[in-house]
Amino acid sequence: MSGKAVHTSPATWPLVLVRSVGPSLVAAGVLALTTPSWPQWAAHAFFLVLLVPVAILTVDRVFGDRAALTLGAAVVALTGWIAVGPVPTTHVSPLGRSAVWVSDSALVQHRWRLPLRSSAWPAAWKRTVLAIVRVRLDVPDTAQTTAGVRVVLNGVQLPALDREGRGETWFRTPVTRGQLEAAPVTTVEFQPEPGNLTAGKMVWGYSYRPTAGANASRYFDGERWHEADLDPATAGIQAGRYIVELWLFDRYGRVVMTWY
Amino acid sequence: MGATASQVAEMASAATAVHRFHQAARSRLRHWLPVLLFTVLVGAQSVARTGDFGGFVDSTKPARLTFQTFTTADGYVIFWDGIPVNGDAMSFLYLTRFMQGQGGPGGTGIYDRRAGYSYLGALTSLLMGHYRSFVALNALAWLAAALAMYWLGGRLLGSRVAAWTAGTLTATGHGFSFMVCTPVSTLLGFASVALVLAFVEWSGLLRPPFRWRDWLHTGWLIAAVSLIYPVYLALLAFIWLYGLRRAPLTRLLGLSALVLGLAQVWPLIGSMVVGMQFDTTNSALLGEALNSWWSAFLRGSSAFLNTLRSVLSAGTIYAAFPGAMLLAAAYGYVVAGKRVRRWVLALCLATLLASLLFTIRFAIPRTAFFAYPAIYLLAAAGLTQAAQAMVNCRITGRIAARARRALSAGVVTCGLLVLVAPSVVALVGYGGVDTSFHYWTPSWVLEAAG
Repeated sequence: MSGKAVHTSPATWPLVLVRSVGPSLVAAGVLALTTPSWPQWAAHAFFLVLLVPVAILTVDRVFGDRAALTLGAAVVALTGWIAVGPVPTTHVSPLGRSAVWVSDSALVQHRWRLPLRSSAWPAAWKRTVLAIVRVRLDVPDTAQTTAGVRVVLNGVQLPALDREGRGETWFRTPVTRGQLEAAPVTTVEFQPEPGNLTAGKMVWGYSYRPTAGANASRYFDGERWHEADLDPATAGIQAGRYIVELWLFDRYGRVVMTWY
Repeated sequence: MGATASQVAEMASAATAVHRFHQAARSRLRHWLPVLLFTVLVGAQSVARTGDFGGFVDSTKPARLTFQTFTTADGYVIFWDGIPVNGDAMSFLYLTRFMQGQGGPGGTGIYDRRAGYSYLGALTSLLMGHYRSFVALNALAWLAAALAMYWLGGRLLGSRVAAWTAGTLTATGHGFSFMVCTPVSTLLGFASVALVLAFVEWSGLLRPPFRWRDWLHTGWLIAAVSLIYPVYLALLAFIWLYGLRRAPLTRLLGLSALVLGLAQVWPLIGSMVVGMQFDTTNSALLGEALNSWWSAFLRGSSAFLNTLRSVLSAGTIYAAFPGAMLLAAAYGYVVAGKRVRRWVLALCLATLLASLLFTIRFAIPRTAFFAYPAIYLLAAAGLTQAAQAMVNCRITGRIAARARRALSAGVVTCGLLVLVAPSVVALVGYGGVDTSFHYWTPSWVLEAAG
């Protein structure tokens, strides 16, 4: 708009309106010819009526007819491309799904390699007043705890984890530094209580980026371990890791450290 | 060897032609220079902000939002072809896929009202894939906003220096830089404010003869913004606040009816004809905020004033516009003309009021960033005036004119460097600025949590 203002005279207004609305009509027609779904066509038609003409009209008035015609042609061409050309696909890594228990002896294991020998570890504990283990479980809304799922930290069974809030899928329990340091590789295990396979399903997903791999979690189906597939009962490879986390908080409620 | 009269005339004509060519080249350069420079600025920042370095990605990581426990290790993100993007962008991807015929209209999420962004994304993502196209769309909108602000600066402040300053502040604006690589409609909402304001000024909407066609055109334009972001209400409020004593009431009412009427068409068509769900979770938050104000009001004047005080101290405004910017803007307000003062005051009221009302629920500085045209114009006015004052002072009055011009340019450049510093600091990896911009956590929350 730094150039000369193009004030449209009343005589040219019908022409300007035709230039503004024309591409929309053509684009809607082109799309209709390729028989898209009715909702898709209706959505396009709406934007072609309410959004596109006012954009072209504004460009026409401010920058002149050549710019408006270019914009109109672009809208027609791009709509035509949507109708007949290849459209891009984007792979979205799934955020989370549940892994079902396949037998009473099924077991889920999640490991953290905590920096027990690093100076960062005692330094973090100087500030830490609360450490919690958090897990996402797919359980009935009425359940307030993880009752029905046995949770073991470094070989010692923990009490049932409490639900963080109403409607939340997160459960947590406080743990001590001693419990975490009891083994060189800190291991949390989850197992259904015998005969209670529907009590709470493990939620897996990308709690850490997909490229980080799934080696923190593994699933034992009663016969063998599955490291690449966190839900072997379902067709396809289910990658990611179980959403089991360790959080350390300071006295102000700020996060000191988190492990996934 | 004397030249004949015709040779002299020929030489003179050639010299004139060369002079004209130079003039035309200079004029063309002057015309395109802002486009070139702002393109470089916006392009460089957009590239630097991709993936993990995006403000709206980085600021959600657990290490940044130290009070939040809802995110994954990578923050509140979803991976598109392996690239981390803010989780909110998924709704727009669903909508875009639907527009491209890759899925049904169901379950598109909480941003169905802002589907205009997905429509534009559906058109533009054919060449480069979804993520890159959305980033390119955002960058283009940012560039357009910078140019609109350049034009507005020149128009309202009557100075090329001020125009350059306003344009540069926008081309390095933290809100834009924070959002540019996030496929959500917020950046387009930011840009639409400057673009609509520039159009209002260009068309002379609020000056006689108040042609109906300009009012209908502007109304249609603002209604189109409603398909991108709810900021259309702030734009409407600005026209009322600034135009109430200038424009005929019939025009104001007509424009409002057109905007509010057209803004309701998409939810109607979208739900009844297209079959979308129009999840109102976000609208409910606004309702909650209004309820909180009402209950504070009912508790009495003391409770209401306390709430007001906590909202004003919540940092929403100064996280959006750090201290130096507000200081420059305050000085600009003092030195600006009466018309500019009224213009920015109307815009600040229209944009910041909604933000402060919402702060009772969430202190989100990006809602205050919609006031950037007012703040940046004032800062530009302040900086220009400061440079002018320095050049005209008694000490510098004795030095040569060229040196004084250089001094003036130096003052403006230094001032600009100070003003854009927070945005640049965030760009080179100091995430604290982005975190404050994302979700302001005042210190009293820390104490309360302790």
